[in-house]
Amino acid sequence: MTRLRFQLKESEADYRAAASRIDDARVVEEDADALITDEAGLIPEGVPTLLLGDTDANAFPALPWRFTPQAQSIRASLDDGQLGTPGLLRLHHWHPGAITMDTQIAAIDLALWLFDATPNATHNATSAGNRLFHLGFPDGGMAMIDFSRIPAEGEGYHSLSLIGSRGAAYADDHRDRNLIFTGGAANAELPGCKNAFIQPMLEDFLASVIAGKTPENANNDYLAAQKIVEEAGDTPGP
Amino acid sequence: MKTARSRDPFKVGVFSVVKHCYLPRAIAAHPRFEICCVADDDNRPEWTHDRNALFAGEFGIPYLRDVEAAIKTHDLDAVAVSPEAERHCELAIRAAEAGLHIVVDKPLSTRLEDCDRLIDAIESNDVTCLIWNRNYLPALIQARTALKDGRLGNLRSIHCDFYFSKDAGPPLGSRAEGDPPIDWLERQLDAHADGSDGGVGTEPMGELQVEGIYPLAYIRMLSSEARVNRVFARTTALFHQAHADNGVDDLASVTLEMENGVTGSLCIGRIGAAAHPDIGEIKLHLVGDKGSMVVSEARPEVSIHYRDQPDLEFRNRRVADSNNYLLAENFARAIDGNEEPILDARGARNICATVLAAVESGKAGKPISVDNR
Repeated sequence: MTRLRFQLKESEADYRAAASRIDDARVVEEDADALITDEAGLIPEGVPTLLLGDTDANAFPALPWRFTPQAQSIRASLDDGQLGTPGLLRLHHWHPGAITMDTQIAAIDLALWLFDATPNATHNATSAGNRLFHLGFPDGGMAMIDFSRIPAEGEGYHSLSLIGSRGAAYADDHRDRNLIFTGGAANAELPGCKNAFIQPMLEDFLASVIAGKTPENANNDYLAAQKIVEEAGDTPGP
Repeated sequence: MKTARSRDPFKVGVFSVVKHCYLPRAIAAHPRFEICCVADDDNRPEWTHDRNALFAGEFGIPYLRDVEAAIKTHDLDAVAVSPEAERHCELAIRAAEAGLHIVVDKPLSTRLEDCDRLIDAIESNDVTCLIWNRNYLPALIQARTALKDGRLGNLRSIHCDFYFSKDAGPPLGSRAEGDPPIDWLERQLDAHADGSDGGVGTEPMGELQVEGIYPLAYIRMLSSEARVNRVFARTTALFHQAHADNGVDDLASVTLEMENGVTGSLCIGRIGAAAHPDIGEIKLHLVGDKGSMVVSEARPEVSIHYRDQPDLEFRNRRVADSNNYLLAENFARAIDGNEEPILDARGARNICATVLAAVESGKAGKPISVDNR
């Protein structure tokens, strides 16, 4: 049994709820075996820590986009050889608020994780409210990732596809939405699964804690993605 | 709006019909056109004559192994040009110089100098030229209407995925050691039966060159004909031995840096039949300063599933698709002088320039400026 403590400014209830579903974990308020926090200043010495939204050499960085049900399913198909060699990753992410560094790093990390490689070519293009990353990998693989700040209040949009040499995977909010009619134009709404990434992310962190891993490799992954984002320059304005 | 049906139909010659025959069929099916003959040069290989004669026989019209004789003897108003892509411009130029209006299959060409000669011939002879495209598919009309109505505001970014899931011969890695590379033309001739011979000809053509005009024509139309100034591309042959053996792409991604501060992108590939249940994943993503839109190019569809269904039969069938009719209608109206071709030679020429820049960028590994006219 691993004792987990949460110190989060945001979404702590969601994280606690996800932890409560994990058999061999217990949420505690003190004497924790591991900490989950979004404040680097709270990282205790000697206690494995999962740090959300930032990086610190003494903590495991959260890489949340790896743990969405869609990304997990695609990764499993890749690992099983169903898709063959990854060829082209396409990711669209539209968000009604600012395009944060965090979001960009999470997306780039997802690409690097699925290709299991560091790109040898990068290009980016920016227009008002939009940023496009174009990555090339040494074996010919490629990734095209675009972010858009959308003007309307409300939900964003997410789409992920991966074309492999033996097959392809398509995960798209477009096909996942259900129609709701309340007069006037229909509303297309997603089932409420936006926090489904939390439990597998916590389970992955716990596995690292139990295995006695250090954060070095995970931090290197984070920094590789961060470098690509930083090289693209300032986040585009509205 | 219909064109004037009371007028006599335009007499159309079919200048070669050696790959898909959708173009001359669409022209033949439209009430404003009457196809009168098929013609090609006598020195073409026998397989060309066989296919031309077969089409002519089906329509009960003569096949002439002499293009100039067809022009002289059949009192033509227009031609439907559908030979190998490498001959599109050559035949179209001869038609323009004879004062004939032209509808030509895609892609316009793989050489800019040929495109430029055609544009010069069209302009000096004051004829109309339409390049075949898919811009009248229902989903494209919907997207264009949303933009025209101002629902999205000013377009800021546009992205297109254009994956065809047809196979294209033996898979990559299937060539045994010591076997010769696959001959491009032989492979294309074999592919005629299943319609995957869009790159037929002696010049190997990658997916960017064969099909890139379709998504780039979408982007051009939806961006109010904004030009692509510069591209960065990655290209590879991931699926098919014929593409790898001939040094052309079957998978590519292209960043499009466009006029008016618009960013765009294209992902394109011939990704194999196993990778999609239908003809392929084809989508558009449009972001404006007021709204945004996700478009599935295939919609509307009907899903049909049944026992003993052939593996390669598409499960989702496109319906309400009037693209071919509307293109022919557009051609007739353009000849009448009532509207512009939805994709003219200058537009297709600049798409060709974008494709060539992307191919070069893929090889050079750096951004390449587009040689627009």
